[in-house]
Amino acid sequence: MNPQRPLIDLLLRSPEALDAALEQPQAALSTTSRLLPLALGGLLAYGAVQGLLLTESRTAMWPTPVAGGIPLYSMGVVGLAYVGGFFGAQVAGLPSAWFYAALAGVRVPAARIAGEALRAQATSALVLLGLLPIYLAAGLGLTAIEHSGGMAALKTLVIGLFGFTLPFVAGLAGVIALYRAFGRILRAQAGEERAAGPLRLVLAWSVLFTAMAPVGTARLLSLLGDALPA
Amino acid sequence: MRPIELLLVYLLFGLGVAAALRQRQIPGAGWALPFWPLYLPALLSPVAAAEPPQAPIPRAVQELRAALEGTPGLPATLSVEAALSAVERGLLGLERRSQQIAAALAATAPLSPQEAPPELQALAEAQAQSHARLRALQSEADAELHRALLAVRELTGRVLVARFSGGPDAVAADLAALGAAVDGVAEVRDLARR
Repeated sequence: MNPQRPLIDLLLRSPEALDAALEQPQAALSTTSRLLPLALGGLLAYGAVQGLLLTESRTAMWPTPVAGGIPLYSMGVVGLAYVGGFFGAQVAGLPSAWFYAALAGVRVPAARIAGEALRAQATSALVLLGLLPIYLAAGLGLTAIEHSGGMAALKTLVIGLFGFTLPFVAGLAGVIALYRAFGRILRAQAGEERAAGPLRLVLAWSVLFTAMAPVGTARLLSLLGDALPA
Repeated sequence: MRPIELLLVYLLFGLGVAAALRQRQIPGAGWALPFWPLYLPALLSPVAAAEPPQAPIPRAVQELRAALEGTPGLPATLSVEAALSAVERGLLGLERRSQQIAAALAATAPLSPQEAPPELQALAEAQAQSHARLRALQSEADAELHRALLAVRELTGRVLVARFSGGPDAVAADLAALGAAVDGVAEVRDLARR
C-alpha cells in the first residue's frame, strides 16, 4: 500500500489497493496499524457524544451513573463500552468467520480474515463519523426541551435506543465492504462470479456480530458504569 | 478467574505480540498491546522470502536471454551472447547518461533571476537557462532509456511468439535483426526510435 495515500481514499475509492495491502501478511500488519486508529476513533467519538447526550438529557438508560453522572466519565465509559463490545465481537468471531469462509468456498488465510474484519470496522467507523453530526444535532435539540412526560420518552427513544442502534446502521457499510471484498477474492480465485458464496459468508458473519456486539457493549456499559462514582 | 486477572493475562499476550512486531520493525507495534488478536494471524503467517527488486535493465536482458535460450534452432551465424552484451551495454550507457545529467543538475542550483541582485541578473538568467536545458536533456534521456527498454521487452515478446508459432525461419530472422540492430549505445537508440 502506498503510504502517502490517505486511508479514507483507500477505503472508499480504491478498495483494490487495500486488497493488495491486506494480501501480504507483512504488509497486512502495518495496514492493521493504520486501520485501527480510524476504527477506534469513530467509535470513541460516537461513544463520547452519546455519553454526553445521555448525561445532559438525563435519559433513563442503564446504568444510572452513566445517565445521571459526570459528563466526562460518561463519555469515556460509553466510548470504551463501544470499543470493547465491537472489537470484542470481531475478535471472538474471527475463528467462526474463517470457518464460514471455508464453508462458503473462499480459500482465505486467517490473517486476511482479520484484515477484512478490520476493514469492515474502519468503513463502519467512517460512516458513523459521517452520521455523528446528525445524531448530535438531534440530541442537542432534544436536551433543550423540557424533561417531562412524552418528551422524556422521546428523549429515551432518540438519544438512548436510536443512539445505540446507529452504530449498527453504520455497520451496514462495513458489511457491504466485506461482501465486495470477498466477492473480489472469490473472483480472483475462481475467475468467475459466484455471488452466493460471499453472500452466505457475510450474512453468517453479520448475524454473529450483531448478536454478540450489543450484548458485549451492554455488559461493558453495565460493568464500567457500576464502577463510576455516583 | 476475576476480570482483572483475565485482563492482565490478555495484556501479557499483547505485550508478547507487540514485542514481536517491534522486532520485525512493523510501524505502530503499540496498537498490538490491546488489539493483539487482530495482529496475531498475520504475525504467525509464514513470511515469503522477499527477493530484492531487480533493476529494470538486468531484468529486461535476463528475460530476453531466457526467451532466446528456450528457443530451439537458433541460427549458427547469430551470436546470442554478443547480441545480449550489446543490448545490455547500450541500455547501461543510456542509464549512465541519464544519471550523469541528474548529478549535474543536483550540483548546480541556479540563482533565481527574481531574487538575484541587478548586477548578477544576466548571470542568473543564463544559469536558469542552462538548468532548464539540462532538465530537458534529462527527461529526453529518461524517455530514451524507457523507449529502449520497451523495445527490448517487445523483442522478447516477438521471440516468444515466433517460438510458439512454430516458425523457425521467423525466429531466425528476428534474432538476426536483433544481432544486427543492437551493438552499443547508438544502436540501442536506433532500436528505441523504431
